Amino acid sequence: MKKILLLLASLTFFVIASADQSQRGVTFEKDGLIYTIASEYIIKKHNIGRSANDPAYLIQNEGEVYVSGVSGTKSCITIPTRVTNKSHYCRKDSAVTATYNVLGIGARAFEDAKLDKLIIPFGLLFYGEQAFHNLELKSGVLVLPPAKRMRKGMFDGVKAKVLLTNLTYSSTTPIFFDKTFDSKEEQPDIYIYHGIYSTQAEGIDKKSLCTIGKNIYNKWIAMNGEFGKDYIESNVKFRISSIHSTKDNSFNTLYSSGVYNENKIPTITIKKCKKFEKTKTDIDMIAPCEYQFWNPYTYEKGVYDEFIMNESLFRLKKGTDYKYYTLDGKPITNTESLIDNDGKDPFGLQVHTPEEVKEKRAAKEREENINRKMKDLKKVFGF
Amino acid sequence: MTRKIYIIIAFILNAINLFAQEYSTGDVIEKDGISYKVLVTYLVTNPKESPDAITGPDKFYQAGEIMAIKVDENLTDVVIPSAVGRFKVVGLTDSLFYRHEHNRIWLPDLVFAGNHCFSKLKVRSGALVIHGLDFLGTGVFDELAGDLIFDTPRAISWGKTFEKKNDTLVVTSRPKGAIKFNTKMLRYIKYSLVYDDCYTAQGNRFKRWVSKAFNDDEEFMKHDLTDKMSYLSKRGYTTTSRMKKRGLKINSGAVNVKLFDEKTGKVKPFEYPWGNLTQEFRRQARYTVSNKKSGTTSHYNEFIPVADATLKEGWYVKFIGDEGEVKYTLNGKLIK
Repeated sequence: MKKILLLLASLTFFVIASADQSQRGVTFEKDGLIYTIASEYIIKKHNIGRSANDPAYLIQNEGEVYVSGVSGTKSCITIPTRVTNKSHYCRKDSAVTATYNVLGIGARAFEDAKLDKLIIPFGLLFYGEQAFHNLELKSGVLVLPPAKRMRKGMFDGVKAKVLLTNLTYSSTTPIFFDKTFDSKEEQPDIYIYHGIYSTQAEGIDKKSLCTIGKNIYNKWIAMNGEFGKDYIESNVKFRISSIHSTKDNSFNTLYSSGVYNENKIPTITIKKCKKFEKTKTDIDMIAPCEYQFWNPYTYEKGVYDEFIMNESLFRLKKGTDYKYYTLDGKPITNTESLIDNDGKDPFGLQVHTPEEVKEKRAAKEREENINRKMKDLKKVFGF
Repeated sequence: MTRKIYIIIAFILNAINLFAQEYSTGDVIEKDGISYKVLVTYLVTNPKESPDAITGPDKFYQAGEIMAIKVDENLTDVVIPSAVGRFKVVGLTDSLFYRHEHNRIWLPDLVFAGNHCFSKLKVRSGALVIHGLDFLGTGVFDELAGDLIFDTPRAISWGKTFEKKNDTLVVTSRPKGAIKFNTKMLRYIKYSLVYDDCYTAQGNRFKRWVSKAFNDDEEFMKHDLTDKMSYLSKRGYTTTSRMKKRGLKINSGAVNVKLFDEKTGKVKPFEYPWGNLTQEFRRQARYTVSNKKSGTTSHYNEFIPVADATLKEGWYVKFIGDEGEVKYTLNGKLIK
């Protein structure tokens, strides 16, 4: 019995520990919304506008999330374009926060939700399958800016009029309608503006849509009050720039630690490892990151799954192997010296259990004692 | 059994002859709580009869255009048919439905609706459906309590439909509800006042709007079938059979009598007070007569087939136009 309990306890510990390592898929709640983390990375940025004593560089946690649900604590919900929360990346300092870009709305995220108002920003990458299933809105109109990819049955059972806005955005980036309007369930009336009809909304089955004039369009947008038109339009610039930087080339450099080959500084380049179009499930719509590493000291070049750094050293992960380097790129071979009494590395990774550390340290001490005694014996007997 | 057949035949003949009585412009016809005013009359033939079968003046029938001038306020459902007998309903007079309240209203494909025709009308089903309207007066849908659905097959001349005079100022006039169109009509309303204030849909979504306006009653929606009597009118007629080289082609119809400007001495184009037709501004019967052999075409205002036993065919045709009276034999030969 004791053995089974011990096994269960060790399994639980394993799950927590591994979840702590892999931030992808972890959820958190903020302002009435539940977010799922798709990726998180550390970026070294110039500390622009710093005072004399401040460091020249800042090390920040950034990442990407999507909305995967509502907690039901708020009736008026505004989906932000960026959300800041406690970092879920494996860093020792628990006070570290991460800023995540909100990139989409997951499958059934707003299922059966009853809200007074829902404000969605412009320029999300995707809306998941049946994202607004049976959503009830008191405001009567769901103002929905288009996403790059809109999945099946998105509007099933929505108890409000749906106004698809900003469709002119698709003139440069075609929207992928993944059977968005094909549904056996009852669909609400979906409206678009007259002017964009037939030219911009090419992927839409026009028979499923109604159009409205400018005055009605403006009236419905204004119904969102202070968050109405201004809110949506204020996000346009930011979102377009951020999307355009990632949409065309799936291999986009997000961070480079130094100038390649000039100052002999190791270079870490964060890239998206998958093409966006090949993905199917919500979390895969946001491709995970991979880290391309070039080390001028060892002439080592490789691709790693994980990269983490602090003020003095950084760590790379490939499969189950971890490698540690100083910021100059010198490899740290004696990794045992980095592990603290709890068995964690400087980034909070549980490498060994405390008992193992104790055992190892005890074994090391024993070995050192033996060695010392051997040396003493050598001195005494002179051989 | 034979008696029954005779009774049925007699009944049918009576029904056909119901409108055999002569009407003249300005006469009022009353039917099913709605009064109509005769705007113009002209002669037609029966489409089932070939020119050879028309053996005399008695084979021509009176047809024409009428305008609805009064609707009983107590009617719950108003059905304005496309034709009453051989008379086609072409329009609605000024303020016809002013401050009326009805459950549902069925309107045929019309030519015109007069000033403030549907002003302050309340439709309990929630929407008024327009199946076709070519010309509209001023403030036609002013403060209409309900939605306005245009289920029209062609473009509409808006004119001053969405304007009205408030003392000396011209202000926007529109229904209280939404203005809805079939998406295919959108390009026609692009330069209209309603463009920014309207909704469009197509396919089943649009059909649902229309159906809802008639309380989803399929029987009520069958009124789009025109009155059968109107099918018994043929406006084109040849005095001889098709194979013969000689003869006359007669086409009957009506035109607007245009307004004459005394100052300039010119004819003003189509400033026609739809919905409030008077003797000065009226519809005028117009017969277009072309000679089969010579190919010449003339226009006349009146057509009178006259019985004459001295002629071989037993009758001849007489036309009265601006230049006086003209008589032709059925072969197209002028009778002096």
